[in-house]
Amino acid sequence: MTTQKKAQLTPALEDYLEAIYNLCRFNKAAHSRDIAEALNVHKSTVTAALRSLGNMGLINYAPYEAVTLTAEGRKKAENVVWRHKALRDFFVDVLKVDEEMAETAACGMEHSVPAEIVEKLAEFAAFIEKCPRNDGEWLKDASFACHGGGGEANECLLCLEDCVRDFKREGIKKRKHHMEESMTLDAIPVGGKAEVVSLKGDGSLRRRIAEMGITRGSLIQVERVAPLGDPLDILVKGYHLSLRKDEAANVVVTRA
Amino acid sequence: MPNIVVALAGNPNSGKTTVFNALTGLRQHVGNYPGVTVEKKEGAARRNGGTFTIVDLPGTYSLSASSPEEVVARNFLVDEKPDVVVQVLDASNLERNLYLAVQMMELGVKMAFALNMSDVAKARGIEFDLDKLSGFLKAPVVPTVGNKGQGTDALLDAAARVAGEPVGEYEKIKYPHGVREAIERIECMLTGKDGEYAARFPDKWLAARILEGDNEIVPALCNREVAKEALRLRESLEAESGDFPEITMAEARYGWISGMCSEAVRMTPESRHEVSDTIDRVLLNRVLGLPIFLILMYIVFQLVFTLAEPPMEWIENAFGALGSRAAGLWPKAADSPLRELLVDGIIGGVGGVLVFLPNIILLFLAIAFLEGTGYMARAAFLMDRLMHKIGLHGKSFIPMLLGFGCTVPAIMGTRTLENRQDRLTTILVLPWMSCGARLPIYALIIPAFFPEALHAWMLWLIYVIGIVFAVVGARLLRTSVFKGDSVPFVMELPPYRIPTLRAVITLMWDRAGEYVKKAGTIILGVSIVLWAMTAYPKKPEFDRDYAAAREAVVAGHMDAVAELGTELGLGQEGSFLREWEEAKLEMAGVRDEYWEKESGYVEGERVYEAKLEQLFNQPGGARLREFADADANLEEMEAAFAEETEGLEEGSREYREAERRREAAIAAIAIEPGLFAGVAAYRDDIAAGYGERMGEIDNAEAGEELAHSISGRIGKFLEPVVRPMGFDWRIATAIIGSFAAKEVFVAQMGIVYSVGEADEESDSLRDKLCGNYTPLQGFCMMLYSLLSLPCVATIAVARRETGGWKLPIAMIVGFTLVAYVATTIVYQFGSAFGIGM
Repeated sequence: MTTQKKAQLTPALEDYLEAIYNLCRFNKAAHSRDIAEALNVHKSTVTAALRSLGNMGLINYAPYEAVTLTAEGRKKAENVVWRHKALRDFFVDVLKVDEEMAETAACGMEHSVPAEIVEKLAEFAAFIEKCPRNDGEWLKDASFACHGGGGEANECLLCLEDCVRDFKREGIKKRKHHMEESMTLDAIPVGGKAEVVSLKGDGSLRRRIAEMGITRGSLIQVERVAPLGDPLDILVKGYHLSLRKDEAANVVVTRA
Repeated sequence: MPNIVVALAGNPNSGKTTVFNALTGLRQHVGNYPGVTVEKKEGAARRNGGTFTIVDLPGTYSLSASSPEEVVARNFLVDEKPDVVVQVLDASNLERNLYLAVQMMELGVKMAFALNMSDVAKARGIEFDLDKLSGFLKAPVVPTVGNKGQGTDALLDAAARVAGEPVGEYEKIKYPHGVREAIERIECMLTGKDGEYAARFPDKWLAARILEGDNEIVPALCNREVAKEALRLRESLEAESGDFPEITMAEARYGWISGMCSEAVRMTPESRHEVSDTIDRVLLNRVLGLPIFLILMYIVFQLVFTLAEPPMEWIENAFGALGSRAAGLWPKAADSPLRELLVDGIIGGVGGVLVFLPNIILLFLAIAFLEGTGYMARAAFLMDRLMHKIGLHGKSFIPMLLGFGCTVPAIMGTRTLENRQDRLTTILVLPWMSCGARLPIYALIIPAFFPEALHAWMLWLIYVIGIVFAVVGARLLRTSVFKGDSVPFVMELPPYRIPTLRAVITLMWDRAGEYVKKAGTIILGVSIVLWAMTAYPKKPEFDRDYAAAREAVVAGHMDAVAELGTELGLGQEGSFLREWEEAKLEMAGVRDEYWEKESGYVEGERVYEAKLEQLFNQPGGARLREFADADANLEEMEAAFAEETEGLEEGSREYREAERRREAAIAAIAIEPGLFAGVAAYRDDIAAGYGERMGEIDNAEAGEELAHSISGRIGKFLEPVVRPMGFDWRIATAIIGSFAAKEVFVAQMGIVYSVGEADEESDSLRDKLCGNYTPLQGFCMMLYSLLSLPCVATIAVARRETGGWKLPIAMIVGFTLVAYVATTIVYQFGSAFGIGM
């Protein structure tokens, strides 16, 4: 065999990949300095890790230059990130474990738990969240106890009917409500960063905003506010865009 | 090789114009896309024996038809079917630029790409894998540097190559499953006869646009079933995913672009526009931003108006000289209507058109600079809060400011507003920003009616009234006629750049040419008509016998001269002086009747000289010679003094010095004191009084003639109409004349009040006004002048800028009506309460 055997992606390297992925989302490229900072390690260890990732063809790497992900690297990184998120979400949303503990556990487990199991867990979590029966009592406090007749057919039927009724009533309203509750771009202070969750507002404005690059998942930095207090100057997709605060109020975001 | 039609597309600020200029050189011309006021630029290029026609499409961010520019660009691509579309990409801002590219790929046009400003991008640490980019886009990608003309040859080669090949298969953007299904469903329902768009676009593409809820296509669908189904699908997709399909699709496109860029573009984190950010930290600073902006605006205002003054004066003088030249083609005494038409109508009219040129050229120099550097977007950013309050866009501020100088360039300056509603609203309220031509009217009226202490306040009040009308007007228009969403202020703040000299000059040249060609012809036509209205019909018989009146004045004058002559002992009963004066008047008559080159003049002069010789050489004539010389000397000194003190303030140091010099020169005239006193009396009392009386007769005649003219008759006819505003036929006549240019009001008032060549400094006209009108009427004159339309040039430019007669006619009617109603209210209210009576 002349080609070097594809080295195994160790947990540590997976962490690196994940960090690079997160940094690239902001800046398109990651500097080793920032990677070191993100992982809380020394810069010299970063160089070695980057070299091996480069050798595996996961990142574009040259000394002293910023790093970008290759297509394969992106796929791998997305996988790692997804596993991490899937585990954490499962702990938080289904098992109702507190967030910090969930985060730590996810960090540890993401490398060791086989992908297949993570996938199943994620699917299960998604299913639970999506399934209307989730609205019943049984998942409310993660006690997983039945509050009804304990398996008696009649009681269960009533319970299910309640679920269906609630589901119909809540339905889409719930999601919309959720949307309105969350933060919008105009509330982000100058210098703050945010990730776009969704767009509200009337048709042409929403379309225009999307076309200028403010789409779900894109990252925005609020650069400044005009001296008179209105339009905002934001950085999106690497360029400066200005928009009024009442327009920014149509962009639902989370702090990043 | 056949001619290849290349459509040049790209985002605003992508450097499209520089690439266009680099490709075409000077072989370009500017026109309009039919029916809209979107500019269409075309040019030609040659390469390897092939010829190219290059059409500059309007700069757009997408092809979604949410602005006239996008509609024009899309329709051009589909209807004119250019052989190839070249998109200019700003290399430093690739992702957003590629959004348009993806939309054009979906449209299935043949494409080539110019990766513009690649040098700047490289300097910022961005590296491109051109092969990969070109592989993803399935089209050639050529690096160019538009402002240095690099890469244009390779770009033309690539365009020619693509034009010669069949349309390739582009990468398909993967839309979510639900969206794809919905598109297919709509596609199945299309029959090819679903409206005017159906025949022109491919079904699949059309189906996608219908699902996206396209503003152009959906309303034009005649198959309402399709529209209904699309609406249903949109709603169900929204319920499913939380987003309307156009958002989901935009996301998918950006997703694909982002994937491609991560493969083909390498950036360092330093790739941000650092210089630009540093400049913004100062220019958009919370504290410094506004002061700097105001200073820059002050400079722009000074540049456009103050710097334009000398060249405007040159143009006026040149046309004045040209007018007298042309008048010289006829014998001086000839009463030729053709001469009047040529000199006063045509040459005066052309002068009236060209006099705005310095303003316009300098304005577009300023605009080209502000736009080219990227500051224009910042100006809008700084001012938007204020302008948005009155329903306008931040970019309206600069035209509004220019309106205080002159409405004509200000209306042309509204070009920078992309949105039509904003533009029309701005154009409509602009005339209320009191322009410089109205200032002479205020300067005439305010001192005539109001005490010194109130002068500044009155002027301030008039300007404020104008601003209030503009603000309220804009708000009202925005909530009535030009209702509709206030346009999103989603505007790019492009990185600062140094504009190319070429781009600046091209813009100035284009705009100046357009003004002369499009607006100039109308202004000229209307000026000639207005001139004719004030000059015709001629009055064949006057109410007063002016000839007899003049004779009486001459007889009285001669008596006075003879009396002086007797006193001074100049001949028997002053006959020497009398004869001398007669010879002088005769010579003046000759001057009025003949040009210097005409034989009658030469003959008259010969007779005059001979007469003088004879008078001076007769016994006792030496004293008369002394008198005549002293008179000529004084004449010369007065002329020299007037020249020296021109533009000087009375009482200033230089003025006093000139006065001293004059005194010294007068003292140096060594003649007998008695005779000198006679000369002075002759000049100051007798000759001056004669001139004044003759002038009065001339003015009365002109006044009678104006009253007889069409505009005078209209004025009289309108008297009952203007009466509620406190105006009489004289004011009405002056208002008609002032439509040519506002400041003409002053001169026309001068004519109807028979005070000769009046200007705003004219005290005699002020006395007349003060004697005939109340301060309230004076105020109403100013108010009407402020609120009514500035001049015909405004209308002509508004027509040019809006591409039709609808708005200009609405302006004529609307402004007249508003001015009429407002002035009437003020006058009636004022008279009822006895204010300013």
